[in-house]
Amino acid sequence: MTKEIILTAEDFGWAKKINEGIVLAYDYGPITEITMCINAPEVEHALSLIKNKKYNIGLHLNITKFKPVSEHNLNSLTDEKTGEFKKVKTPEDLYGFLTLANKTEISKEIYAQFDLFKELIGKNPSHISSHHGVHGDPKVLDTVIELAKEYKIPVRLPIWTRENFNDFVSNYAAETILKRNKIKTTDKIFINIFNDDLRENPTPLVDDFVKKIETTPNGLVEVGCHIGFMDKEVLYATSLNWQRVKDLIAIIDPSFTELLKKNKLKLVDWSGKEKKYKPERGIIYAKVNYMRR
Amino acid sequence: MRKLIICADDFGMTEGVNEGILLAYKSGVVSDTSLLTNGLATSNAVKIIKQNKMSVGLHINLTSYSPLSPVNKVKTLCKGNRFHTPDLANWDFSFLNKANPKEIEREIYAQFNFFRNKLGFLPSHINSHKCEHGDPSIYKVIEKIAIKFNIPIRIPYWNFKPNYAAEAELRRAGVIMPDNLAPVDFYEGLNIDLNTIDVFVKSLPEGVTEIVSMPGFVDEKLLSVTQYQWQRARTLAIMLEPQFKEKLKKANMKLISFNDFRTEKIKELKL
Repeated sequence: MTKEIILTAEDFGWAKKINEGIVLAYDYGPITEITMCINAPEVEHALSLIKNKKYNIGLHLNITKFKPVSEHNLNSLTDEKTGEFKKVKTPEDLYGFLTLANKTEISKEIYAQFDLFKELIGKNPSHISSHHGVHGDPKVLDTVIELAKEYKIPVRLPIWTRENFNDFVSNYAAETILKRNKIKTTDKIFINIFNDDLRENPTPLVDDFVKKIETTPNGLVEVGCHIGFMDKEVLYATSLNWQRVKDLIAIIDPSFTELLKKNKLKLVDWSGKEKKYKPERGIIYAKVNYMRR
Repeated sequence: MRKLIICADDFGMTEGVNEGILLAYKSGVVSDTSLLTNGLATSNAVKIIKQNKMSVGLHINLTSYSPLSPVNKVKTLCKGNRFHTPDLANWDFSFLNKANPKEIEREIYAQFNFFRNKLGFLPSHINSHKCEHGDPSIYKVIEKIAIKFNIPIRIPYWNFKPNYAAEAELRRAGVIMPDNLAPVDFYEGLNIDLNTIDVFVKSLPEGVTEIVSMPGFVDEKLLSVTQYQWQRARTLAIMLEPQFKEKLKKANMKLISFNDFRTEKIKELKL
């Protein structure tokens, strides 16, 4: 049995330069899925990039950043002053936030994000995932399962975080609930493609990925990638900034594709379809028209 | 007394690089920058320099993109209508063996005059894109300009290592140069590191040290013009961390520009 990998680009819609990097890596590189925050600031720009083209786009449910989409009153979820979701900085914050959150309000917001996604993209999401992994909490998961069952949508394997938002561990009960409801998910998920201490470690790269994959059982694996270009907007919007550029460049390099082949890793999307593409070194060096004065 | 010049290279490479350098310059971490006269976004850079009254030097480039001179006048430097690109993996610049010194001189003057005409002042210093001014046929031309106008030159290195004869010859000729150079680590961009910058700076010898850096934002355009890519984003992000500036301050380092350095030297040497 070969190992199959879904390579998902995270944070579509957050910033223009993130959007551009993601689309580039989907068009010319190994990305097989994109996950979109429908309430992020640059959703409109993201939509303009994917217009008239076919992309596998999932819904990245988000109830911990930016403003809600729902028109209902979501007192238990939002900050009175800003109207945005309450700030969640640590895993403890997240647990506290979800404990106090009203389940009906969560459900209303999830449906609103789902409906808005369908309206803007024109089809059902290819899969459902969530920001900060909140669907690993039963309060969120129940509604996600409702949607997934009704529309036959796969759901990202639930995980949970203890130390910080770069360090996730498995989440048995949530996994089991998904599986008993016969919802398609993966056998394993990595939330970063290379090193997990992304914020600190500047040294690449590929060895980390190989190690990760070697320790992975056969089956279907999802790997999340935080990729993108960087400008002022990205720099101030997220603590992962230059790291996105580094990972983007690493995965569109042909050597990454060779690595996948050598390790008998098959790139697939959530429907199981294999991704075929030609890694173009060209994308990096050969666009000579740019270089003309 | 130890003083530091933190210079950001490649101003003019792309709009994203320009914007990044300006941000680092305004935040007070970058004290000087050097202008590519044949970059993709040189005219954008010229505009920014004028608007912000920056201290800026000339980044001579004889190894990438196209020459300012008509190609048929600098044929021995070119392949097609672009400069010969050296084999960087082996740091092989042997194409310079066949370059005509007159053509080298012509192109260097073209870039120097472009700078003066567009900006209306002299460069704060002169350096080069791949530090190719460590090559005798190149530094001899730059030396003439430097002596005539009292313009400082970056200490010549070769493949990121000291280049004794070049440095000795320039110093003996009376060219103004800082005392030390901390070159960029080309492959990792790690000369600028948040955790170690204070230790690094404290380990520097006395006198004026120039730290070379290449901060910048990164977009698709940049990928096609340089192999030094995410490293620019990383350098920039680190420079803009408040902690970075604090550490420099704590290390008691005075940050000066090449203009400051030049003025001091001219006074000191009564030039």
